[in-house]
Order: sequence, then C-alpha cells, then structure tokens
Amino acid sequence: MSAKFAGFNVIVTGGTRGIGGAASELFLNNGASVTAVYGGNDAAAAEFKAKWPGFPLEVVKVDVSDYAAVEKFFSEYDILTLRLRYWSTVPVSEKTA
Amino acid sequence: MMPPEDWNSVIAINLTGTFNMSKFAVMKMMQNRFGRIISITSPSGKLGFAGQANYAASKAGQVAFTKSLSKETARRGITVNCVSPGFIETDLISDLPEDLRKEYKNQVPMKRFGTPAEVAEAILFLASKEASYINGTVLEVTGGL
Repeated sequence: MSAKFAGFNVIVTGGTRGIGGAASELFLNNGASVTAVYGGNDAAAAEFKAKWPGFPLEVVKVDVSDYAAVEKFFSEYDILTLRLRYWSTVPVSEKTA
Repeated sequence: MMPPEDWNSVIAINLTGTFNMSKFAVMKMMQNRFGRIISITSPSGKLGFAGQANYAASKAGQVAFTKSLSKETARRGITVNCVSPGFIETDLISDLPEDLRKEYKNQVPMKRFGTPAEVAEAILFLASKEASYINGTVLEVTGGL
C-alpha cells in the first residue's frame, strides 16, 4: 500500500474486469478513490466491489456510448467522490455497508 | 461481411465512448487545472487485424482523438495519452483455441503474454504527477511486438 495517489479521484471505464480491473486495483493500492464504470456484467461488478471492503471504491453501471447517460453520471460524480472521500476516513470497524 | 450492427456497436462503445467520457472528464479537470486521460488502444489500430475492421478502426480513432485533445488541453495541466497493450492474459485471450494461443505467443519477442497488472503499471505511470511532460503519445506495452 502506498499513498502516491492519495487525493486522486480516478474513473476507470471497464474498471471491474480484465485490464481495467487491474488498473482499479493498483489505483486503490496506491491511495486513490476509484469509481469503476462497467457496461453490463452486474455479477462481476458486485464481486469486484466485495473484494475491496473498506476501500474508497464505487462501481457504477454506465453505457459510455450513450451521451445523455454519461452526462448524468458526471452530474452525480461530485457527490459520489464526496461520499468516497468520507468513507475513506471512517475506520473499517465502524462501517456497516 | 461484417453486419452493420457489429460495426456500429464497437465504434459506439470504443470511439464514441472515449469522446463522451473524455468530454465530461475534461470539464471537471479544467476546474482543477490538473487531469490525466488515458485511453486503452491496441496494436491492431496500427497494424490492422483480419476480421476486426470495426475494432481496429475504433482503436486507431482513439489515437487520433487522443493526439487532437492533447493539443487542446495541454495549457490547462491536462495530459491525454494512450496505452497500447499487446497480447494480455484476459478473457479475450483465454477463450482462444490452444493452437492460436501458441501462434500468438510465438509472435511476441518475450514468448509470453502480458498480465493485466503489467498494463496497469503503465496506466498508473501516465496518471501520475511525475508524467507531467508526456502528452499525446502512445505507450506500447506489448513485450516488444
């Protein structure tokens, strides 16, 4: 674990599997808050999220080819990153979800 | 011949998706006067690949998009680059028949496929503050392909 990316908000598309998944994990291990965007595989996304309890990770389903969907995702992104930052300050033992 | 649906869906996700995500990301990054955009392209965008005209075209398009955007955002502390992974051990490769896997492995000077973690290291480097003067480029992670 390093803090090289502490304070970084990172979005990784295709971020729950394969190369994107590996990038999400390396960012998490280096102190970043990560929003992993995925296209369709809910099971893989849930499994990925479960692998990182207590880490500032959110998985969000977005069809990146849909302009309006991407616009909506970014309009909600500031709240998402605030939540991630809050979670990252709460000790794991006090977390309930 | 390739059905138009196959053409459209791959261009929509890989190329239009890159535009959509980059556009809104840039707007956020401009507020911070700092940002890193890294798109994952492919050697097939440069070399072509039989049966993958849609994929190859989308990947070449990402490179041209990256080079153009990098010139627009450079003064605002936002760099835009690509990583181009070669043969990497993902579902895409593991689903191939064994003889084809062997043939592809033989094409790689290192005689092995790369791992997702090895590609991730390149992505993190380009995303770091230290990569501040690298802009509009393609970092190949191919084992020398």
